[in-house]
Amino acid sequence: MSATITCPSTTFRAMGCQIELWLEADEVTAVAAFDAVEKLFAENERALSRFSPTSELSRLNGRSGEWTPVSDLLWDVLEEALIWAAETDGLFDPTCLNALEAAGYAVSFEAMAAAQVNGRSQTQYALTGQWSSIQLDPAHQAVYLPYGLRIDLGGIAKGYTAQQAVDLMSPWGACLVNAGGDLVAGAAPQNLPGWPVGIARPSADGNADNALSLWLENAALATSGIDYRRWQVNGRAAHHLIDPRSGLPAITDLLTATVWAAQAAEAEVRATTSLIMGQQRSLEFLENQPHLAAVLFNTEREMTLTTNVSRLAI
Amino acid sequence: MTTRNKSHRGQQFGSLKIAVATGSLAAALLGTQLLARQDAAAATAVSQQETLTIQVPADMPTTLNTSPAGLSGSGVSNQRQVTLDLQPIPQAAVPQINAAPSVVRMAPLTQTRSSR
Repeated sequence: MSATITCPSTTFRAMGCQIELWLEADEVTAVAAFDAVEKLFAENERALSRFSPTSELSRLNGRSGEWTPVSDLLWDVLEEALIWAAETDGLFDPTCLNALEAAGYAVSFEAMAAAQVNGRSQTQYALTGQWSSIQLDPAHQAVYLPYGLRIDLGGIAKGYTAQQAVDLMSPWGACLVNAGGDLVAGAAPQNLPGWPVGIARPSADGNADNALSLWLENAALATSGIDYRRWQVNGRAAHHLIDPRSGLPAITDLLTATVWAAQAAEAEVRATTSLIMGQQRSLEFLENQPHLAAVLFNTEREMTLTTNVSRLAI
Repeated sequence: MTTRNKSHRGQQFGSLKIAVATGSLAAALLGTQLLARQDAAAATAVSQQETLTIQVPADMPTTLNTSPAGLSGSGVSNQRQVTLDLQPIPQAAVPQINAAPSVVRMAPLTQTRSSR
């Protein structure tokens, strides 16, 4: 039996990447929903981007050493990031911004590519455990960053917004969001077990073949990788995934790690930490997590699947 | 003595051969009857529940006593009724071949990959 999905879709740019939406609804409803989601991404980017000097996040980063009241959005995303930092024993660390900029990722990736910007010297920022020094005051919804500490909410902010978009569209119908390669799905389209989605092979350019296909329903699929966003620093390869233990771009035998989870934030965090841990350790960890499924590509471009992937495969 | 014994044994083996041949014939007849009954059953027959009892005359011995006493005694009896209680024979039913669950094949709508 072959099937096709014919439902309204749209695409736009936000948060430094391409956003795609699908909604199983009539055209008029879909256009209204897409408009609301596009506004949501724009608002969240204005608040959470580290590249915009006027964003709420940049203002918070500029006020380290003092208590700063924050919006509901920044509070929620920061709180989620700190929960995952604790959950991963600091392997996921939102305080990596200084290290990331030292590695050369000081402007958006598009700007880096356009200006052929290379990184500064690889100054080493010891990050271990810095996330735990951030203080939250729920009574006043205020945040205290120790002096000089700056945070980046890049991946988790994107996943959070994609999840919000699905929550926003779901009352109208089955929906799917692709936020720069991170997928979040609502209910399955009619007569299908889920949204048919592919997992890309590592690729240094814009196009990537699908290695395999999965059904995605009420779940998220996130990929972290060093196959694309990489550059040279003093003649040495660098990338955007900082290992908090060293404060430097992670030395890993993985090119990409894709993780399936019920929520976007967990998929995003597990994909990032898998890449930092490397193939053997991440496989050992992931196989013991029955609520997760993962697809890993190592530097030899060999694919490894965790056992749970077979449940989702098309 | 030796000659008489050999002659007696020869007679006994002769009887035995006849008994075996008769038994084979009876078994063949029995089998034919059973096959005929099976053929009469509907093609989609399900397994029979009742036990089928067939009484056939048998000229064969029910036991073969090879002991010296048996050989010299009346171990072979003729014209006996043998009752065979046969268990129901499982009937071949028309196999119910269910169509394989339909597999939905479709190209992925989009793909997950590292941020770009």
